[in-house]
Amino acid sequence: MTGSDRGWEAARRIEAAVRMPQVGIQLNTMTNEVIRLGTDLLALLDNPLSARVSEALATVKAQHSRIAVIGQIKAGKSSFVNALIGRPGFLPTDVNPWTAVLTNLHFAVPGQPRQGAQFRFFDETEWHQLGQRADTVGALTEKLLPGHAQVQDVKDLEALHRRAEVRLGRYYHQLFGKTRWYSDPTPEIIERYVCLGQDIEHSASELVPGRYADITKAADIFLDAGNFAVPATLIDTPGTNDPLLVRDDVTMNGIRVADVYVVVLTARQPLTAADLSLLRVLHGLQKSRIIVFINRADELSDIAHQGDAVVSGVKAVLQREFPAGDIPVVIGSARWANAALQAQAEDLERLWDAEVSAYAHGRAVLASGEGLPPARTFDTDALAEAILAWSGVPAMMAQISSALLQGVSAFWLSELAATLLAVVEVVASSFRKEVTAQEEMLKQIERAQPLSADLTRRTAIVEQLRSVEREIGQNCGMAETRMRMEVAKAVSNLSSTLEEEVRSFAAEQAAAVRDAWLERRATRNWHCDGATLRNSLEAHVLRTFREVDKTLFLALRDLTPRLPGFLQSTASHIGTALTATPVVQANISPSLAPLGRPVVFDLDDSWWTLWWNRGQSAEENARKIEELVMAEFGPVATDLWRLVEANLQKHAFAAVRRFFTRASDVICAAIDREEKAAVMTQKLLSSFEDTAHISGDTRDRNLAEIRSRLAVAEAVVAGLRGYLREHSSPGSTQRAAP
Amino acid sequence: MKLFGRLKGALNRRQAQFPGTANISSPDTAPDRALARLDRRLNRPLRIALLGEFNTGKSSLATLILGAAIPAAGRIPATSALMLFRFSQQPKLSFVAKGGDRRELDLASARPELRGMQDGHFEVGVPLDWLRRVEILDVPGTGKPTAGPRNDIVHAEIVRSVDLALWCTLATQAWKESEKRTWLQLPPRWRSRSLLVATHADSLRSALDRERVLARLRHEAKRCFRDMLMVSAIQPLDDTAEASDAPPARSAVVSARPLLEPNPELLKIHGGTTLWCCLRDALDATAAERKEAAARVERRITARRDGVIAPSGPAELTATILQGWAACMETLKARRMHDTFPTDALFAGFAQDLTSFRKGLERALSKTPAEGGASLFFCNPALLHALNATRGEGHHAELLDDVITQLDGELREVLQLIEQRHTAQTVRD
Repeated sequence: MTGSDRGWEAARRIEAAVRMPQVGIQLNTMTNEVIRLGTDLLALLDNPLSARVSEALATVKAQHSRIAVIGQIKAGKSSFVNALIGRPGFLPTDVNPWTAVLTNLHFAVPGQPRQGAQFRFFDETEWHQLGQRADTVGALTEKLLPGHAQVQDVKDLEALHRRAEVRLGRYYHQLFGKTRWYSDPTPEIIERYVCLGQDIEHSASELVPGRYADITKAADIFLDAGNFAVPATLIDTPGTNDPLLVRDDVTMNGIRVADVYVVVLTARQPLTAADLSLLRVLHGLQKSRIIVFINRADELSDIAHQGDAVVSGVKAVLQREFPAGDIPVVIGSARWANAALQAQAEDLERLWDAEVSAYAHGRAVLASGEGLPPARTFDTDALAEAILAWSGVPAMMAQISSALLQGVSAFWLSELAATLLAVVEVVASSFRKEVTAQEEMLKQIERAQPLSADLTRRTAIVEQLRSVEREIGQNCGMAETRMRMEVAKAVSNLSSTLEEEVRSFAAEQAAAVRDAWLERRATRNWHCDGATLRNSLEAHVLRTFREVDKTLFLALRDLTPRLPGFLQSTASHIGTALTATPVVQANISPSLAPLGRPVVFDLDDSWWTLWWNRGQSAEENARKIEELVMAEFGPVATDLWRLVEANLQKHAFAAVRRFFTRASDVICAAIDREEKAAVMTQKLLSSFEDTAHISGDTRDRNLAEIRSRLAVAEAVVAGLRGYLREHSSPGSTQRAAP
Repeated sequence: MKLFGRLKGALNRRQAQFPGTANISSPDTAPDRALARLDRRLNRPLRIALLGEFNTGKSSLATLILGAAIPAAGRIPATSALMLFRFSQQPKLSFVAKGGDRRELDLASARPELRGMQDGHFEVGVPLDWLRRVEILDVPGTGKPTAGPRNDIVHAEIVRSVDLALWCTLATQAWKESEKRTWLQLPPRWRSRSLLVATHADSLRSALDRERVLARLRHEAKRCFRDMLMVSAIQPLDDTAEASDAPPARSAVVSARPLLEPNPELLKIHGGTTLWCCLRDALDATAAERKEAAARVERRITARRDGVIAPSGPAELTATILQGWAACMETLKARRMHDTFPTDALFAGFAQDLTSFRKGLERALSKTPAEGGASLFFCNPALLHALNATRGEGHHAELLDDVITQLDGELREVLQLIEQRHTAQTVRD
């Protein structure tokens, strides 16, 4: 093998396995498996249990995953999305900031069309709120330095209104609140709605890019499955940049519920302060499923060697900032991927020679320690595959796939599997008993005594089960009351703790100002850093969640004190099927969004210099600082505990309900089986009494049928157990409670 | 009124005593210090700062402007420390700590020492003749997330002392919101003199793309910069659209001897000639501006000196008042000329001076029994407050003039009042 061949081989090895892989294959396999096992189980059940199970299966089938792509302006988000979906040029891109509107790409989402595009315009109120949104900095400086007018934002808003008028005519207000539908969207149509467009003078024509962008609130584009193995929505967002304005409402609301967050950085300026604030906000929303893509690697002057340094630099900062989460980092180039997908022979050759070969070569050197000359002895397809492999996009698809396994869809899947397992275990155990009983009966067919004894016993069991069912019903109400009290108690503790924290922080800062003044340290170098307070508030909130989690676990245990033991005697393994999933580990984590809210202490030092220069005394300044801390962080603390309260009540009750449903499903299944068996025994008994004899054939047929159903049930049990062993409690490894 | 003349005479005499050492003498009055500073200020080289976010090619640009003359040890990307390139006969490298302590560094072994020296700046002595007239300050990039306290290098005193800036931005992600925010916090006087330089233009793949980005920059940043241009160190870019890399004829002020002499390497790169021409024009314009401003201040002081009446009242009191007023005005003048403060800080400082002057005035007046009941409207707090609170772009100079005129008028009235009361008392006695 020549050196050049080995260089090519190095590329080939990676590419061979990754040629535009499907996103979410594992999740798809998991879903299919649960649905298959659930359908098998369905055949063994009668109403009303079967109705409940089939409803749950339908819910799972309707799930879709949401993947949000966010990052600074011109990071290459739209290009990355185009590469990811394998459609170069689908979303319009440009050398100037271009995407202006949140764009949802729906891939085979159940209940949605498979082709078409819908554009929603702002309504009147939202349009007027735009201005207030843009004025975060203005509002903050107004708080810090009253009367210090910020005229800039007002001008921006006026410009926006004027531009809308020029582009859309004087009656553009009539479009508000409307939607537009296209059954066959082209890039040109999309461009008209979601792109910033050029300056006003070019916009005379109807078909100009960005004509409607100013008033478009969101775009929904519907596509068939494409590269997605599971139903998915991919969200392309306008670029963020301002450290204080990243909390742009439209973007943040649009991405709040995503399963996976792809943060796109650029290789030349990896992880700026603005990127970091964006990541902090995401982290504040407790988004642990973040993947970082360092785009534009092709712009590095020495990709082969700088690439690794860039990745490890980004990893080091992420490790420092977010020690808890292990955020995957992938480097690559959406431009390469798009070129590879377009597969123009000439372009590819130029690209390989000028850029990619050096990179592949460098990586090969790093991997094997020996130099390999760049090679180009292959055809266009192979070239395209190699470039695609080095573009990092396939690696991103793999990362997204594995992140989806931590998402909400995967969580509901596991919950469903656990419920199904509990039900099917009861069913299987009941079949097992019936088989034993019938076999026993066959031996003792001559004597009627055992049969009537069996009947009595079964009736007694059903009675007991019914009483347990009643008890659970009552306990459920009690558990809810108890949880309500516990949550109220925990939240009231939390609220006073948080307020105390804010108060003592305010006092501390005031003292620091006084000290700085007394020691004649330059006060303009003094800086109030809100990070300490934010961290301690976060710690308190998380602790409260853990405490409530513990109480919840106890409450759920008390919900069915008799059931596990009782079922243990009638059906084995049932106790294990009824373990509760605690709230925090249930992937429904507390929202810490208020912590991400900008406060005056986040303003740059120059504003503070102005503040210090007002020539007030130390005492006045100290008092003012104390007031500012209270005024800024007081509402944050209040909103935090309100959110915690809402979150805990909702999720604690949901957990109680979920557990209750599962327990009553199990009992329902047990009663169902016992009653069926009782009917069978009754039939046998009466036929025995009537004719003193029933045909051996019928008996054998009955037995064989029950045996076959038992076999199905056991197969489902084994399948579900295997499934849960493999995929149990997603995310719990990451967020294990200390 | 002889006070101004006396002060100036004293200073002149002192300067004559120590010719050429005005800045070494330890001046003991505010006007002395102010005049010394003004002198230094007028004669020191113009200072250009290279600013921008990290990894935008500031240090490469510094190297391109200065050429091969930089000593090897001075070719350190300013990732964490400020680098000031200035003239010296021999190449040399020194570290100037925040307090002003200077330490010479060994050119050969300086590299390892450079780490950890944060509080201050490095000075690289370069034997280039034109650096006698222009100094270049390479400032660490902003926008990098830091572990410790926030990165406020752009607020360092030495950065505030520059005359104009080249703001470097990446052509592919040019003029982001975060850059704009940082730039708008820097002294507004830089805006009309400074250049926005989009670097790495080669990452934009066609002349049309480059033109479109530049068009956006011209539109979005027109109020923030004198000019916008695009450069690329990869030379030359393979299109003909920008072959006519012609210098725009903007400035009427073209000095006979240009302040800046081009490095041949700079002229070779894409956009290099444009950059050089724009920079030359900006420097010329700044130098002219500086001269004009100095002349304006001189004129105003002369006018005021001649305009203020000489009272014949209680000489001691009047002298105290006028001395205080002169000190106030001189500090203001010094502040404006030296201008190491942001303009808002200058206002605040002036307001503080006036407040303490007013307090001194009150004390002095209360010592004179005759003035016991005098209602003192001079420098009234409302005016001071307005001075402190009013801020608006570009109106500073006019506002200051208004305030000074008003205060002058008020001062005259106070002096007249004192005189009248004195006369009245004398008559009564």
